[in-house]
Amino acid sequence: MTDKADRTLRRAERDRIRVEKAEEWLRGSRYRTRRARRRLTVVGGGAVSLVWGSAVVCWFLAPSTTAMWTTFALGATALVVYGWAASVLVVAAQGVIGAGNAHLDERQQAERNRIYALAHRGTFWMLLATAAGMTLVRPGDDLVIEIPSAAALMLAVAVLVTHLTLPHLIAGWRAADPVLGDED
Amino acid sequence: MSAEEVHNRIPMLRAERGVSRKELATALGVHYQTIGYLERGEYSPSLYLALRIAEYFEVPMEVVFSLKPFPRLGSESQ
Repeated sequence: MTDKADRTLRRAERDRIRVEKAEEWLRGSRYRTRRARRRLTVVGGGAVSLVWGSAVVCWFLAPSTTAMWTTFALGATALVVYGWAASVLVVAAQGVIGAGNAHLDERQQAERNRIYALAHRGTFWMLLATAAGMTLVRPGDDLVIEIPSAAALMLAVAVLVTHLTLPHLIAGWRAADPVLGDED
Repeated sequence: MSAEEVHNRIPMLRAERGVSRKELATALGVHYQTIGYLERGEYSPSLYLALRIAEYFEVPMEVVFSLKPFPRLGSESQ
């Protein structure tokens, strides 16, 4: 066996053990129930909305120390809360999100396709809502909107973060309850 | 009941042959939770997977899958 094939096999075995440990943890945790997972999904969605909040703060208050510290505080809170929520949601989704396509069976691949289709639709509505919101807040009939560069940056970050996190949130919301034990 | 619901006898066949979900999943190359969802009726398999399940148990496909609920054991003799 070549070194490369040996490394690939060892990595696959490590991945398998890691997945089994994560699934074992899920079966024993309170997130094995749909209600708890959906509550966590809402918390994750709330964390993402903090990034949108900081964009709004920057829009109205930047450039100022208040806007800067509010952005840092909201960003750090969103990172910590979402980091925790996403790690649980990825485990709860049982590989549908996070694992490579080659590791998924037909059910998992079909579920992943549905999740990405829904996330794609969600991203479309988010972009539409952002465009509508920017049109509504423009002063008078001006065609040019002047906003602080920090707000433009935070808006772009918020759009990107939502685009990246939406599949996790949808996967967490839709995840079916795991089958407990082997023969229950 | 969903209009596209497919009933199956996988739990019965597994119990009869003494095969665990994990063993069946390994033999079919699917995640063991997929076997659980199949048994709970939360997932309908592709034709390919359905044929492989029937092949694994060495029975015709209609023995494993049906569009109508399977009669309960003993109900046919009454």
